[in-house]
Amino acid sequence: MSNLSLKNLSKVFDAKTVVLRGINLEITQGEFVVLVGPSGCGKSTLLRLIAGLEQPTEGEIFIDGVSVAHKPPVERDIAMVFQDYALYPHMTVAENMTFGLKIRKVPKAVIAEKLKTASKILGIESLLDRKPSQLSGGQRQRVAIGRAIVREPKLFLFDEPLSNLDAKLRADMRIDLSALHQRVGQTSIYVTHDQQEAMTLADRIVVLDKGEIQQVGTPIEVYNKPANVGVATFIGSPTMNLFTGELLFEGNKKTFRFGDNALEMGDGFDTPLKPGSYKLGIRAEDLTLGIPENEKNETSIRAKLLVKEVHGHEIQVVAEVGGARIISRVSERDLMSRITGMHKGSEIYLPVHGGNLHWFENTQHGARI
Amino acid sequence: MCSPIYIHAWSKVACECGVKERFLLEQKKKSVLLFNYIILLVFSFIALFPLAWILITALKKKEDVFSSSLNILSGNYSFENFVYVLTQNDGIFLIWLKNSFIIAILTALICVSLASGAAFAFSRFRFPGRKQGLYLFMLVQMFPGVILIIPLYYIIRSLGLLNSISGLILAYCASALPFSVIMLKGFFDTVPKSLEEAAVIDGLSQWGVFTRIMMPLALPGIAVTLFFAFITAWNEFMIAMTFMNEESQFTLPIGIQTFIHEYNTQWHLMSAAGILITLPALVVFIKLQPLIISGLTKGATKS
Repeated sequence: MSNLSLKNLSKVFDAKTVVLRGINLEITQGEFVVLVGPSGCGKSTLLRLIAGLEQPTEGEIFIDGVSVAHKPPVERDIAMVFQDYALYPHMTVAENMTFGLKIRKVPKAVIAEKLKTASKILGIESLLDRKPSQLSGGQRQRVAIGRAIVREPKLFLFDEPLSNLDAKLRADMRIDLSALHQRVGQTSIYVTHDQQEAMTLADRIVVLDKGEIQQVGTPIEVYNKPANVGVATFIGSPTMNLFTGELLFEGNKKTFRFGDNALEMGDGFDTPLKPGSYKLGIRAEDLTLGIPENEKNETSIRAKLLVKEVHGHEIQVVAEVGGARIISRVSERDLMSRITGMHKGSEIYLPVHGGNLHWFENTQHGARI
Repeated sequence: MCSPIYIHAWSKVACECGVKERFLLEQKKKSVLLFNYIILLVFSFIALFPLAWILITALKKKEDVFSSSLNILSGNYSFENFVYVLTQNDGIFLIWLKNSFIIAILTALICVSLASGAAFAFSRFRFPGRKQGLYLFMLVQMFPGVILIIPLYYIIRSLGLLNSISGLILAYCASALPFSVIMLKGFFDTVPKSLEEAAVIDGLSQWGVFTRIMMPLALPGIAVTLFFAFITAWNEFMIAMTFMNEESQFTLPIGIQTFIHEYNTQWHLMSAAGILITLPALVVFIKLQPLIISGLTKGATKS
C-alpha cells in the first residue's frame, strides 16, 4: 500500500516563481526515498509541502490514503530532522526528545520508556541531562534524530541532516542512518544535494531539476540508465563525460565524430539505430588507459593529459579533447604506475568500453535514447 | 655537523633573544593596560562624581551644604535628612513611593505583554502594513516627549482619567511601547525560524510557539524591555507634573520638587530623596540582571 502519495503537486511563490510543477510520486510503506538535485531544484520545498510547513498551490498529498494537503503539520503524524538541528536550547536533551510526546499528552511512563529505547538506539543515554549548547555537532544531530524517532510517526522527513557535519562524521552518520532505517523500518524521505549520500542511503532516488521530477528509480537504475543529460551529469562522481557530435553510418562501419575526433564503434558497442546528431555519455570508469600494444586504435579517444588526481586506490586522469575536459579512472596498479610517470601535455589514448555507452538526443533536455 | 657545544651556544642566544622580546612585549602590554585603566578611571569619575556629591549632600546638615570646604572627611554626617524625608507630612514620601512603584511595575508589565505580542507578529508574520507599522513606531520615537503631552492630555482628559494612577499608566505605556516593540522584535528576529517549525511539527499551536519557545528564548530581551519600561515610568516628570494635581496622587519625581520653595531650595532633603528614589530602581536592575545575559539560543542550530 502506498504510504505517501503526491498528485499533481505544484508550488508557486509570489504568483510568479514556479518552484514545483506537476509532481506525482508514490512512496510505499517502509521505503527510504531520497530527493536529490542541484540547489534551487525544489527538493526542500517539496519536503516542506509534505511536512505542512508550506501550502501547495495545486495538487493533493495523501498520507495512508488520507488527504492532508491543507491540514496543519500536527495532524499529519510526521517528524522532521532539520539541516541546522533546530533543538530547543532552553531544554535538556531529554526534554527536547520528549517535547512532542508531552504536547500529545502521552502518559509519563510511556514517554520514559520511549526515551530510554530511542536514546539507547542512538547511543546518547549519557547526554540526556545536557543542554544542546553542551553537545558537539554530531551529538546534536543524534538528538535531533532521537526527537523524531521517539514519536514513532508515519513518516520521517530529513532535510539535509548531514550537511553541517564534517566529512568523516558525515560518513559515519550515513552508516548509522542506514542501520537505523533498517531497525525502525519506517517510511523516510530524505533531501540532499549530495549524490553520494543519495546513492548510498536510498531504496529509490527521485532526481529533481527546475521544479520537475527528472527520474525515479533505484540508485543502480539511475546510475546505469540516466533518463536525460541532466540526471547523467548530476549522478555519479566524477561527472559523466559528454561529447556532442554526429553518428555516421558508412556500410557496416559506424563512426561517432565530435570536434576533430572520430571514434569508431567497435563490436559490442551500443549505438542508436539511426545516424544523426547525438550526445554521447561515457562514465569515467568506462574510459581507462589501455594496455600498451592495443591502446592506440580507432576505438580509443586521443587526448592530452592535464591533471592527475591521486586518490590512493585510483587515479583520476583529467585530459583535454578538442577544448573539452574528460575524466578517466585508472585503478589497475600497473596502469597507475604508468600514469604516474607521465607529464602534463603527454598524449594519451583512452580505450572506450563500448557496452556502457549512454546516448542522448542532441536537444536542450537531452532525453535518453 | 654541529657539535653539542655549538648547539648549546646557539640555543642560548636564541633563548636570550626570545626572553628579551617577550619582556618588551610584556612591558608594552602593561603600558597599554595602564593607559586603558587611566581612561576608564577618568570617565568613571565623571559618571560617578554627581552621585557621590548627592550622597554627601544627603548626609550633611542643612548649614553644611554650602560649605566651601572640599575636605569630605571634615563634615558632620548623619542620616537625619533621610529620616525627615521618610516621616515628614505623615509619611507622604512613602505614599509617593507606593504610587511610583505601582505605576512603574504596571507600566512595565502591560508594556511588555503588549510589546511582546506585537514584536512577535512583526518578526514572524508578513501582513499588509507591516513595514509601515514599524516605520511608524520609529517615527514616534523621534518626536521629543514634550510634544506628545498636549495630545495625551486631551485623550486622558476625555477618558476621565486625569489625576489618576491608571491615566498615568496609560500615558507611560503609550510612550514606552514603540521602543519596546522595536527592541523585542530585534530579539525575536534572532530566534532561528527552524526552531519555530520544529515546534509546529512537534504539535504546538502558534500561541504555543509564542509562549513556550519564543518567550523563554527572548528572556534577555524581555528583561531589558521590562527594565526600560520601568525606568521610563519611574523617572518621568513632565507628564506626571501635567496630569497630577493632588498631593496624595503624586509620584516621586514630582514629590521631590516640593522641596523647592519660592525663596529657598532644601538641597540636603532633595539629595536624600534623590538617593531614596534611586534605590528601588537599583534593586529592580539587580533582580533583572541575571536574565540580561546573551547567548540563550546557543546550541539551537549549527550557527
